[in-house]
Amino acid sequence: MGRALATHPLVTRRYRLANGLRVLLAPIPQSPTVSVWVWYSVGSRQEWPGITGASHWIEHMLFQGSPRYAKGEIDRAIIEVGGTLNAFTDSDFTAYFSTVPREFWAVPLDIEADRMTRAQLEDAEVERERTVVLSEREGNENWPQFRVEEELYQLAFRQHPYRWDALGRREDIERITPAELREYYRRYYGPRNATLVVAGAFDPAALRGEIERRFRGLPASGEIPAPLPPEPAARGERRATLRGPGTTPLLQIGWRAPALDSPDTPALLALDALLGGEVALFRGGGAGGHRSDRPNSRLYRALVDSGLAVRATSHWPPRVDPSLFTIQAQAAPGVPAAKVEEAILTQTERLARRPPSARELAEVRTRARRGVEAAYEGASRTAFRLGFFETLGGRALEGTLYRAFQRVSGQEILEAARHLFVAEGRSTVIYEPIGGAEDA
Amino acid sequence: MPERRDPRRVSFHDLPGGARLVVQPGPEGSHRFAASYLGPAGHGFDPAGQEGLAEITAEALLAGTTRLDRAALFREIDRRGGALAVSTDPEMVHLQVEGPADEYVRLIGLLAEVLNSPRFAPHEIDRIRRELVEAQLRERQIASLRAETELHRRLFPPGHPYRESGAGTFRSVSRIRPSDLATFHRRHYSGRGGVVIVTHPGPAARLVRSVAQIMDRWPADRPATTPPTGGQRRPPSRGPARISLPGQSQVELRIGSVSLARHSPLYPAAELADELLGRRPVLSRLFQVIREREGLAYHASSQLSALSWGGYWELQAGTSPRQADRALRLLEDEIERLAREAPDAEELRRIRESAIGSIPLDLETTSTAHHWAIEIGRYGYPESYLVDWPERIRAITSAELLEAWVKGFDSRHAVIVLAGPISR
Repeated sequence: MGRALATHPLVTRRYRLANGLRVLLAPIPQSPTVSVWVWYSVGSRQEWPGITGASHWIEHMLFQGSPRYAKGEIDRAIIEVGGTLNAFTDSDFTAYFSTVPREFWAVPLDIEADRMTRAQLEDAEVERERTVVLSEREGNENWPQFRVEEELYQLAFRQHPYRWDALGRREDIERITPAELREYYRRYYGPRNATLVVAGAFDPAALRGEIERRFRGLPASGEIPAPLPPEPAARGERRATLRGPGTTPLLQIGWRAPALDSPDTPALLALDALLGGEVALFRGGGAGGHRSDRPNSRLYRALVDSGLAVRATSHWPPRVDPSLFTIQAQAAPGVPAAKVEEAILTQTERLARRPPSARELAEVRTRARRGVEAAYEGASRTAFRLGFFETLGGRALEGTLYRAFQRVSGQEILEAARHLFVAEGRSTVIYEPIGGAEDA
Repeated sequence: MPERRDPRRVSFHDLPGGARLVVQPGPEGSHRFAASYLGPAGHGFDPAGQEGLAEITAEALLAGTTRLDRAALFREIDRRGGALAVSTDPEMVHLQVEGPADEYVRLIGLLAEVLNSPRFAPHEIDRIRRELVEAQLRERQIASLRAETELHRRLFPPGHPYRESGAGTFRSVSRIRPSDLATFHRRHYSGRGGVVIVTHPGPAARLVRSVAQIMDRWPADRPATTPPTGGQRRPPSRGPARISLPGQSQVELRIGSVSLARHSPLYPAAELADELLGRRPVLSRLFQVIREREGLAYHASSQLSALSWGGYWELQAGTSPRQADRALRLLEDEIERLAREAPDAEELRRIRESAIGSIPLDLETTSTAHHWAIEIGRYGYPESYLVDWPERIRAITSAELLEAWVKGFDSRHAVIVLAGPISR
């Protein structure tokens, strides 16, 4: 086990309230801050056609008023004391967080208890937020990367909710009624479906009492998401071409990949690390977010060094249900998408033909070990990681995956690549740029 | 007597070759370190006709040294759990290495090697050139980048160091040769004018000795770099520039003005005015009016960039094409409102305490604490700058804030840019 996994908050307390709320406490006595997170096991995976984007819209609405915090007061209460707050929505979860100077630890606890089951979602506020949510979506649409990824998941999935982005479809955002949004909130948001994580400088015994006082009276609501039927197997390769403003051809290929609880997960993490350079779950600063270029990765050497592309990365998002392993590349000026695609497939075929060298494997293992050592610095990062793994697979998930990753063999990686990189499970989206900017 | 371990209090030292060393204690309990080199090698120093040279030189530093090619360099950094990054702005280049505290000697050694012994291999320069050409295309096609680029071109006259983004043009980057990089490197990557900043949990005296030994290779006879002189004329007031980008979904709005330099006595009040207007979105006037009251935009903010040679202040928002004119009017209203309506006591108190209260959050991790030490080192603030900061912020009056805004944002000569799916 890596050094950091032995040195991350060892005295983490984990318990459950009678109403189902899971609580994780990670005292860090020397921290200048306290970070409070609530993770709900609800995201776009729980949505259905017609109500896509509801989880994300709820995320916005939980800042717009609850019994003790009128509109604007949640922001004010945190920012006034120098804190920071935000939230994000994924397919499998939604997370709300505040980090405050340590003497103000009670403020975010009050807020989270107040809005867990009693957010108001008034008609006028829902309507006003509709245009903000649309604006967020339009801002993303300005970037070809967003358009390509959204198209890729729509192409690869025909039934499963991974088919749509967490922002939701434009037509649904325009249509969803306040009543539907309230119904969705009442159904999924509550202690049974939530994990409260607090990390930072506090007295655990005292904090436990404060948490009991604020949260134990909440109703045992929050429907635990039911398993979803699997996406039917793909029977052939799927392709789409988009055109729009952009720089050079952009290409994203996705292969059907197993869920996080698959025995192949350690090998998939290794494939991602070999191709793109990052060990997604074991990197400093959190398990999500974008990665920077890794100049020693296979994709970088084969595509960027060779002059075919200016960027090339892989990504395997850890998901509750089977999802996609993707590779994205931005062609170099003057290089057609077909050449980039050919070079990507050469790399995936190579991985399915020959196991990685011992040296390459040692390098990605070292990278993972070093990444975890950096991942638990500060209350905010600690709370993020504890909540992320708890929500996706429980307390032991991180350690189990880490140990399995450090043991994964070249042969297992080869087998995983053979199962993964098959044409039948492949979807490809190519974005062809069109010019047309004209100055006024 | 035990050494004080307060990350808010830095210490200054001199390095061989003329660079200054700033040492900051790391956050308590942290086992990480961060080290930066800031030097006068930003894209404001690009020679005419070779725009992009500073950027290519900076990027090429990460592409290998005379001893280690790029693969070997990054293998070594990975092995030690480090991360190495570079960026430029008009004035400075910023190289930063981070990693486990017990690897600082090796990793700062690699930083020094990268700085002093770059390889400048032609194939790596070609790769960086391709990346820059793609970046140039992005600046033309993506609304937010285009609006930003156009704002600067309209704010600053040709030749001004803040006018261009540093990516150059297809023609200028095509002309750049490896020998140009070597010349630029010799002139601009000197000890003099450079600052090394280290945030580390260990004792300062040991750190200073180690860093002085590692960073001992700068030639002491290199002259300090002098800032380029650009036109200082302010642009005449013009109507909004409307840039049509068919196929984009959102319109990006920018309103900007030439503004104060960092060492202006009005800077602290201007910084607070920026907080009030839109720097941190949630409590700010722009966020409250444009997003929370009107629902017009997901993002609406302001940013004061007060640098050593000068500054600029801009307001920004992204909105749908049909709401762009209304959002623009509201941005203009807020510009006027701040000039005539100083914050009342409660608003001022809230903004002040928010700015002061955020310091503990900045000291949560090594990299966020390091950011403060960089500010201190870059702008020559005193060692106790961060300790004194709350008092300085609390002393700012409503009248000073108003004065900083009126003098720091010249609304008569402000430039307006809209870029996105709009008609001309």
